[in-house]
Amino acid sequence: MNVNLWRRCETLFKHVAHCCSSISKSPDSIRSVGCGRYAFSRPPVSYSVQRYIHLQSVCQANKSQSVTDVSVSQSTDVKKSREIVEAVNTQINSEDLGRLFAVVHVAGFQRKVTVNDIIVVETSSYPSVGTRIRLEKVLLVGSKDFTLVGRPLLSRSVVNIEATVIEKTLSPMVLSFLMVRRRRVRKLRMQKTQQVVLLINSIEVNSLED
Amino acid sequence: MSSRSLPATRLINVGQNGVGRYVCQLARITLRFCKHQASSRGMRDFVENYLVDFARSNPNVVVYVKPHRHRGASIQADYLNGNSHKTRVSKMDMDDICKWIELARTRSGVDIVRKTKNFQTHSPSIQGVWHPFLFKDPSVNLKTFPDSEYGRFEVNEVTATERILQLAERMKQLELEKGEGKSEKDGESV
Repeated sequence: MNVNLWRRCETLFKHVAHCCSSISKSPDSIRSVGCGRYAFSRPPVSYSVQRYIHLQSVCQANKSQSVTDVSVSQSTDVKKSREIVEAVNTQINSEDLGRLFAVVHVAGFQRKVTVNDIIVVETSSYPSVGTRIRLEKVLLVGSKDFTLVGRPLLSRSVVNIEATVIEKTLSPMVLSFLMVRRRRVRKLRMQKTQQVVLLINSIEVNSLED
Repeated sequence: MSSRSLPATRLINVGQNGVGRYVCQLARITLRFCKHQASSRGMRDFVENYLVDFARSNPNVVVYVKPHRHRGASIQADYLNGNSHKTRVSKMDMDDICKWIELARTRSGVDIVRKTKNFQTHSPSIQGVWHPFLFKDPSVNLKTFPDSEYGRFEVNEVTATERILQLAERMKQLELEKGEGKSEKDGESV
């Protein structure tokens, strides 16, 4: 019995040790995660990164001795972001933009779409067939070289996704059968839901503003 | 019966509908009913009140009205892809029949069966498939593991031992300064 107890304790210690090691990961070690033998042994989770960001913000608020460092990092960040925005804008305005894809939020579900895709939306209230609609909840737009991620949504001035309602039908019959043995409980539920089929006509991206 | 055992198809867009303009896929609708029976009452009401409006608003749909003596009412919808679907609407009131006819009009004519996926795309990936070595330094390829650099354990914050060492150093410095000050003072006094 004592042996068993000891074994249990040992496993518990191991578990705790593993948790601790996973908590105290630094950002540099995260960069190396996913390469070589350590890819699966180390979970890519970092709490120290979060704490670091928090500390930075505290410094900013208190205007303590490390204010100069923060301002320097901010200016470099702004510079970097401007460079990225410029690069993306040149890509958008060039003819070599290529096919775009987007993640849209329709009727409670998120779908990844490109032009000429068709998607099924399970909803009862929707415009009639043939109407062209604009999908306004856009979470992400990507091309071959860049990706714009909304926080949580991209603004209407940046993206314009148009779709056509091509079909409004019913789903096939879905059966849900409940049975409890020896209790005389049998429930059969048959259900058809209303479905709308959308065709994505166009995805357009306008150049970003600073 | 579970849905896995039932036949399934992919999502189909008949004739690339909506890529250019939308074309109503319903070609012909046949309304069958009896002129006398009570079960065809709803259908007769529909024919009296709404049928002309329906035909006017959908000029591309051919509407047949066929009275059948002592038969139940039904709707037969023929689609451009050659499929036809029949719905029995006897003992239904006019509102329900309106809904069934609207369903026949808005459908594409594809059989209603289970779909494997509720989306259809011809370009599943635009940025390429992600793998764990994407955007990684290619020098990793030539490394032999375990590697001291990649296996390095780093802590971003100052550890307790480091802090104690720092404090000890500071104390040493302070003591040195004190000692220097004393010696200087001694020198002055001497």
